[in-house]
Amino acid sequence: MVKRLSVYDDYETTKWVIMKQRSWIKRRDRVWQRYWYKTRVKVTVEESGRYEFYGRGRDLSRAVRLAHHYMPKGYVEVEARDFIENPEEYGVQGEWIWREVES
Amino acid sequence: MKWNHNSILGFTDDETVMLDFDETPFKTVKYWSQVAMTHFGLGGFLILKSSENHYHVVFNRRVDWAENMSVVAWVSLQSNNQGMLRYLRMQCIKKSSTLRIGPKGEKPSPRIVYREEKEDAQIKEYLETRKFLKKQGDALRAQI
Repeated sequence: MVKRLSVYDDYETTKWVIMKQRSWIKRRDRVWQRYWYKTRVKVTVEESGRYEFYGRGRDLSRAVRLAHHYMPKGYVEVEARDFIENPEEYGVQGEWIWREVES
Repeated sequence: MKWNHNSILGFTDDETVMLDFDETPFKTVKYWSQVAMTHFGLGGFLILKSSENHYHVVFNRRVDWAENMSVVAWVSLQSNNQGMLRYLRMQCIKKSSTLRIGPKGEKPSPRIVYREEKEDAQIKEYLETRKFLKKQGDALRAQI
């Protein structure tokens, strides 16, 4: 029997982002001139995502375990078997965030 | 049910009528569940307590997606429940209904507090999935 499960919440992951970094250059007229250059920096970001798995029991069970390590890239609706075969296509490595909730 | 994941696990289906009552006392939840069951002929229902004054309702009869949303919209309008209206919007965006099965933060898994009439169709399926997830929780706990 095909079942459907959702795995969702906020998570933390690392991402490469382009940032501007300030630097100085000494001109020929001996004046220090400030300039900005773009650089890639690895930062930890907090995002939220959701897996919508469908499939048979054994596949779902393995998919749920894999979802512990691979965080969803936004809203991901995928067959459990496809996710098991290629988790990197649908998720990124990270950690689910534990937080207290009101509702 | 305890769960080592920090993520939340939910049961998703588009053929099962599921309601989410936030900030509503049990008596009101039971009343609207009975009214909806009679009005739409839903066969039976199950009430689960998610936390204090937060309840989930699962109905027994299999319906199509249009009828499912019609029931949820009708109950949310009749009961004037703003929380359920928000739930309805979210389910419409996803095109399927989801109710939490696993724990959420410090809150435990929803537990059954009331049953009425039949449980042979969608409720049975819901309970099977719930049981399946409990097994998964045990397996994960053993693994980690």
